[in-house]
Amino acid sequence: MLLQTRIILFVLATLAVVAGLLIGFSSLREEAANQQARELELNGLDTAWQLAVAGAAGRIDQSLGRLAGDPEILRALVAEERGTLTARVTALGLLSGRAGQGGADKGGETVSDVNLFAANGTLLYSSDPALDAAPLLNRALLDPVLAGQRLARGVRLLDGNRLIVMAGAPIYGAVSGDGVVVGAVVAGLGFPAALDVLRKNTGGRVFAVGRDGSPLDGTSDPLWSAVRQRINPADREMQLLRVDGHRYALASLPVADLAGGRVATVLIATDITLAMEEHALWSVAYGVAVLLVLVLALGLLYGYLRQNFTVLDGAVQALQDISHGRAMGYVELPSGNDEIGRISGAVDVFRGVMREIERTAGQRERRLRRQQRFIRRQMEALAVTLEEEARQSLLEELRQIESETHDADSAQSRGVGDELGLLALGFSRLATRVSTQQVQLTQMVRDLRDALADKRRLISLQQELEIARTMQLTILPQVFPELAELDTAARMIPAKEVGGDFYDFFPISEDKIAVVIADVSGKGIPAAFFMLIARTMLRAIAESGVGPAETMRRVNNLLAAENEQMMFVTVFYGELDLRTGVLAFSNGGHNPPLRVTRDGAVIELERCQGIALAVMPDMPFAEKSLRLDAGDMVVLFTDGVTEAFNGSDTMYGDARLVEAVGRQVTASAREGLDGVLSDVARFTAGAPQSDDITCLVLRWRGAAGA
Amino acid sequence: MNITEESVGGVSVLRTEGRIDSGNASEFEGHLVRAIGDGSVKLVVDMAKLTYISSAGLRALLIAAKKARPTGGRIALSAMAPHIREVFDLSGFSSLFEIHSDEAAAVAAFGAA
Repeated sequence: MLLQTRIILFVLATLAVVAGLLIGFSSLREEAANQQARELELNGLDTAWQLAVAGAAGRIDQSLGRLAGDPEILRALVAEERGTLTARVTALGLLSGRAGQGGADKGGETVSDVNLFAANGTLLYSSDPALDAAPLLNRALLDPVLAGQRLARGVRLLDGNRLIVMAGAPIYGAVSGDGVVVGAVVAGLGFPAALDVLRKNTGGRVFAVGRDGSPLDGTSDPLWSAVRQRINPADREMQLLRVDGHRYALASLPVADLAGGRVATVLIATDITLAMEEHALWSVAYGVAVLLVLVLALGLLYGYLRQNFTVLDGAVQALQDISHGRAMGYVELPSGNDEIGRISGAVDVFRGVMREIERTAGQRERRLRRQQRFIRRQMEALAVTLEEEARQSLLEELRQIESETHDADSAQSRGVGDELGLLALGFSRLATRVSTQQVQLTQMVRDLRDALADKRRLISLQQELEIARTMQLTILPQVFPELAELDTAARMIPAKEVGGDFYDFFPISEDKIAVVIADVSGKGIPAAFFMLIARTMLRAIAESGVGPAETMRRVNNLLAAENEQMMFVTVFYGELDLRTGVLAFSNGGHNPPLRVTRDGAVIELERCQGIALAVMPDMPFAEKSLRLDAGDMVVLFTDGVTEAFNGSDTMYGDARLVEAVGRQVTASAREGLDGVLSDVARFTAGAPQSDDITCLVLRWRGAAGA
Repeated sequence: MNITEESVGGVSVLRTEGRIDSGNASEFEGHLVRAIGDGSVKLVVDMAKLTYISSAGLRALLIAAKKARPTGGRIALSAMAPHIREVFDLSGFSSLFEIHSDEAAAVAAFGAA
């Protein structure tokens, strides 16, 4: 409440100044009043002094009357008989002190000085024994008396510094007073008489000092020592004395001679202690009253200010609440036309605005939350497209964002904007992951494209291979002539790749049929090529009818001629004479065929010296022959049959083949072929085929016409 | 297939183990060709641990033999299993190689000759 404090301090200062001024002025007025009071007091005392003087003079009057009424004196006065006057005055015994022994006896007032004047103003008698005594009154003062105009009263300073109170009166010829003035009588009384009267009248302590300040009376008073210090003989003033705890008002009255001029000063000390104390009490009471009034006024002012400031405080608090975003707090504010009313009006407006802002902010927040939820859902949906690890960490981040937005503290402290910021962060991470994945995917697509191109090439190659294989297969005789003497069946089951096995069956003359089974080393296109070449050559040379051995020899030389690759082919070549049933054959490194007789015996054909073809030129080839009996079966095969592996890496082997062949003793060629091959298939039981399986079965029925 | 090479008394010895078929025949061929070198080497191919050899493997041996022949190199085969011996006999390739019962004999035969 700095403003309030300032106002109060200002008011205090103003009040203090005003009060000070008021007090100052009232002090001045009081001083003036005091001055006036003192003046009045002095006047009063002055009057008292005059009265005292008059009183003293009055004491003289008696003597004056006696003197003025004495006929002796009258007569002597008229006669100007000085001696008589002197005697008479003495006789009257009016004089005190020096001259009047008998005065006190008479019991009347005495005077200290007497002067008798003739009508013409001549001093006829003076109580002063001095030769040339000065008259008590000078001509100026005497004349009015002689004229009967006035009585002289007052203080006179006689030479010798003796102060008297003096009174003079005219003496009339007749006693009645209505006669002619025959002279004047003046008498004086010691100055202290007047002082005594004053003492009696005022009740104060009276002091007198001479013209020069020398003490005249009152020195016996205990106050004298204090008073004498304060004496200013020429001044008519009132002073304050403090002696022994008492306070005195010391009045100083200069006394003038009848003839004029200051002759003495009378000082009167009045005990005003009680009055002063009373005055002081009144002052204190006054001061206290003023103070109380001030305090009351200040208190009222303070209360009033506080009340108003409280209202202002309320308005300020409301404003502060609003500024801190708490527009919902309710504060009762007074309306009105003054500043506070205006403030409360403005606060109301402001509060309304704030509420509006909060409302819209709330709306905005709700909208942002909706957006945020939407974005989150979209992100979750997008996350599905990420690969597992990235998706998991992204979903984790989303959950984190979710928990933070539902956490009241973080939402309030950071505001909706920051939630979106978090989402934006999560979104940017998602974007990063997506772009990384995009890069990976692009790379994969590229790789795939390359792979696709490769695959296409491969497929085309495979297609060509397929074509080649098909061609190769179709080259092998599929259909055998229906001959009365001979039943033939053959099959080549290629391995995965294009292989090199082949068989052949062709007439070389009207009665002879050539039968071939061969196995080219290796696989794939080279083997296929070589196979075709070998087959063609064999056919070509065989058809020249030079017989098995020679055929083999020639074909071998031809094949071995340009054989960088060292391919070789094992060949069994036989010529069967249909008229006789004689089979002439030559073997170049091939498995000897099996012969099954009618009674079920399975024997190998004779072994025949001969190396596999195409390895080396000029190799010897033997030739053997054999006469078949009717019902004999000859089985030609390649090592794909005997070397067929099953799942446990066991070979089919010669023994099993012999057995299988043996079981076909009564079968037709086809049946026998099927029987053997199915036995092999049963044995391999799905194990991958590593080599071509080729088999040719001949059943000799017997010569025609036999 | 596992092939180890060793030089025994100036004679290169190639020890074969496992199967030689069309899948690894080219690798076998590579070993042989390297072992033959410029062709003047005496090489013993020990088949003590060989379980099977296909025509592709035979081909590899033929290629090595052809490379060795012009420069006077010799290839000996040792410790063939019976069924492998039969393959060689059957195909007539036995006549193309010197065949011994074991590695030592083959090495010795080379040293003596």
